[in-house]
Amino acid sequence: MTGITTASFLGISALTWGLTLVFIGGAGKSAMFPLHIWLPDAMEGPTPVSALIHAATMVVAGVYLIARLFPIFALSDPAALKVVTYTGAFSALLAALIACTQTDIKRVLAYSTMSQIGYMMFALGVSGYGKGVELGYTASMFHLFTHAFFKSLLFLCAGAIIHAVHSNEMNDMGGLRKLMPVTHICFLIACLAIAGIPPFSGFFSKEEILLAAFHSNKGVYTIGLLVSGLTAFYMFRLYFSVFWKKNRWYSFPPIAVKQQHLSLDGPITMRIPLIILAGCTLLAGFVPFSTLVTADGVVPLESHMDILFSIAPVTIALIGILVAGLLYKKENDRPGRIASSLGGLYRSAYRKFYIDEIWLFITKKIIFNLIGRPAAWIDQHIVDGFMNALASATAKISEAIKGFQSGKIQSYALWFFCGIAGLAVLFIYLWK
Amino acid sequence: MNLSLLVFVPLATALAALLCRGRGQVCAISLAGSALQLILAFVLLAQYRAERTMGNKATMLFESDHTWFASLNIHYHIGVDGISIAMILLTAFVVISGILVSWTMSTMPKEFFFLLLFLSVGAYGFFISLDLFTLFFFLEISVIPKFLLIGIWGTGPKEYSAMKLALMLMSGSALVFIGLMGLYFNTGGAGGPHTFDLLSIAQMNIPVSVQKIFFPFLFVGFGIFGALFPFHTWVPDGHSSAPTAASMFLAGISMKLGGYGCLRVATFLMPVAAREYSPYIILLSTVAIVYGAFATMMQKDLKYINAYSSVSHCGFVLLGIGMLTRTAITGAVMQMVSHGLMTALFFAAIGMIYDRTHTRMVEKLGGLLKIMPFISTVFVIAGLCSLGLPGFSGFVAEITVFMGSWQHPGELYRIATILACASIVITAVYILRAVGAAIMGPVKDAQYNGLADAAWNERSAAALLVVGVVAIGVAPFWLSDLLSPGVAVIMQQIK
Repeated sequence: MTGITTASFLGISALTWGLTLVFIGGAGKSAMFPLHIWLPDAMEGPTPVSALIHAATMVVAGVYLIARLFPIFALSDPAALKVVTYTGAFSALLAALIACTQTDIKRVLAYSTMSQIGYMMFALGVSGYGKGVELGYTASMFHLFTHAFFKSLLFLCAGAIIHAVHSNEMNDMGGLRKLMPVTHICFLIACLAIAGIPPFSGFFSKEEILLAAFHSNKGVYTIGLLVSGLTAFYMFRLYFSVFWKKNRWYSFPPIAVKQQHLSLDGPITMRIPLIILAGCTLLAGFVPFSTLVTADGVVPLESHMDILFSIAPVTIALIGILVAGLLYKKENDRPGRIASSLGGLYRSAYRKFYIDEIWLFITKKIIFNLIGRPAAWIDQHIVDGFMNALASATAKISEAIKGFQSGKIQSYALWFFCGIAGLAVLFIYLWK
Repeated sequence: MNLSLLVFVPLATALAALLCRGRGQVCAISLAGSALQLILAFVLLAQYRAERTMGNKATMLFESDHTWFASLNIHYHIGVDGISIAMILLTAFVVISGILVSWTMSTMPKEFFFLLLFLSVGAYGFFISLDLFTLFFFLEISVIPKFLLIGIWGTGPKEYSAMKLALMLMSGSALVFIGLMGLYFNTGGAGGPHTFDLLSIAQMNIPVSVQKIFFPFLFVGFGIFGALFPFHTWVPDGHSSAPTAASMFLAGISMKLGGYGCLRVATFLMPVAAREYSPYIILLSTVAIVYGAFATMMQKDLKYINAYSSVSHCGFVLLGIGMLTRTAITGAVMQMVSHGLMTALFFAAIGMIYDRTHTRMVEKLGGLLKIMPFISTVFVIAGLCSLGLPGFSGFVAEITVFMGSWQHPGELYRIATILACASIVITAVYILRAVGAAIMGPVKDAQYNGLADAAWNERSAAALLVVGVVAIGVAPFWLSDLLSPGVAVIMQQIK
């Protein structure tokens, strides 16, 4: 595979350019930094669409693209894989930080999606091709697989909650665990899965990713570990805020709820999908994925579950859950105090690190004002102005000389006479 | 099939329309005539395919040749290959939809339909001509009706736009004429008679020095018709002042005369010069594509948006021709057909919206999807085709041009290709902005609420064009197979 081409541009081989561009395309689809701003905004769409497209299928197309082209990446161009690794790791961290501060339930899930895709990306990046080094590839695909279940479960639960509460804001929710028992259990299962608590599916895939990172890139491993703590924290921040915290009775008095067995859980058509997905979330981790998918197609992949290795990530996840529980299980002012003590860091994370504003600046100020407007102006005033000037110049010239063809015999005769006289003078005095 | 039918049927229809009484009769005659054109075009397609499958390898099929002015060796020589048939099909589709859309035209309907049909005479004649003089004759025929159509039935500054369009196109044909003269007087080398015959000139090897002088005349001349930068400024003004059907004809057919001429006459007959000048062609067409797209982004009038985007999209035609690779040229012809159908659909939708709301300003429209779902859907389909969504013709044509362009090594060509590809994003920006502001969202103006959706004539016009756009989009190979022998002949010449 090596040496496909020797062409280069700016000292970087054409293949690296090509693969990097393919990756950038994939990064755009998979909401990697800095092309991620569309994903949270796309959450304006209906929740089932978010569940399907923005959690399970479409958004992982970029990961799939890199995975499909993986042999080319791995065998001929490690440089491009480095780009994949660091973009993935950075996006995972950035998104996790933002997710900790958001209050819109779907936006938290959107940033969490971005963060989990970051995991998949850097897992591909740290992987190699061939025996012994290809754990990352399988882990990435495994995480893609398990993530699809628990993330669409989370989205559908969010949909059920929004349906019941008529708001996307976490602050409008609280104490829903008794009112929405089915949604509550399903949401909890999904949260445990994404936090990486055994034996839920997310645990298995995330462990594999971290293990792969550990063996190939300690820095990325550290980021991965940190992000898994953050993941547990923001997911349980969401969980406690929605299902615990203050008890609100919304528009229903508690008596009515008790007497009529009124439940805010959706109708059966909304509950069944949740239950199915919750079942999948519980079981997906036990799929022997390494016997199905490997980078080079040679199955099964030799992978061992290392109990000792799992201690660190699981502990960190538990710490995350604990912190979230302390801060958000009961109504208190600790979150607000912490937020204000973090000051600028909190504010910038809350404002999504101003990346939206940067993009807005690029599109509005640079593309529209600096390129679009001048182009339209030049076209109207210079290019077209030249054509108009040409036309009016023609008209003016003809205006100026039209007197010569006046149709008056007398003036023709006068010009004729003048001409003759001029010629006569010419002949007499100059032609000697 | 006797190709002259393609000229005489529209001509007879046009004359018959003049003899009619009342709007109803005029419309019926015009519709019947244009339907007959469509049938003829399909018959021609079927016969052409039958001939090719039977192994007919001739460059041009269904040729016929009559001497016209013997002393100057001018012939009425006609014939078609796949490229011309594609253009004829395009013309037939646009003509019938244009007639349908103008069904309710009440100001001087007789004259209006006469001019529309007369315009199509010029287009058909142009596409079947194999004699350069005949070709030029038909090119000229197609200019004057446009002037009248815009000047009489137009909106806004119509006299100005009509004059501008006519003058710029006339300058284009003047340049073409100089080029043709240059070719004519350099044929027949060793004392033989001069000729205008396309196929014989192609065999002749015009001296390189002559090619270098006359290629720019022909290419720029035809380029003006095809919106070559910087001679494109008639496009926005002309289109936006023209009545709906005339806009459709202009963008759908007239601009294609330019692209077809650049390919069939300039490039085919003077291949050496085409290679020589190809960097300049690429440069100008890339500028048209990118700068046209940026200029589109800033437009506020729906017709201006579509007209400027036509500048950008027709840039792909000239880019494909300038690349001189087989795929790129195939792509260029596909883009001509695709853009013709798509832009006619777009103008039809805009015209329907304007007829009802009496405005084309994006900021005054809004929420049209709720009021006129059919028209809005048509608008969205045209928009999606324009931004190159797979499944529509725009995607097929543009991707073919890009693939062909990339085949050309050389840095300038690569950069041009990359820029042209990137312009698709800008297309998406302006199309989606227009769709978002005009079609989606809340209804801006309460008085739009009672407006009717498309009538049967508008529905059928839109349906015809959508069928064309989708047919190319989902089954592009019938088109590329149709074009392939013709493009092969041109490529042979270029090699």
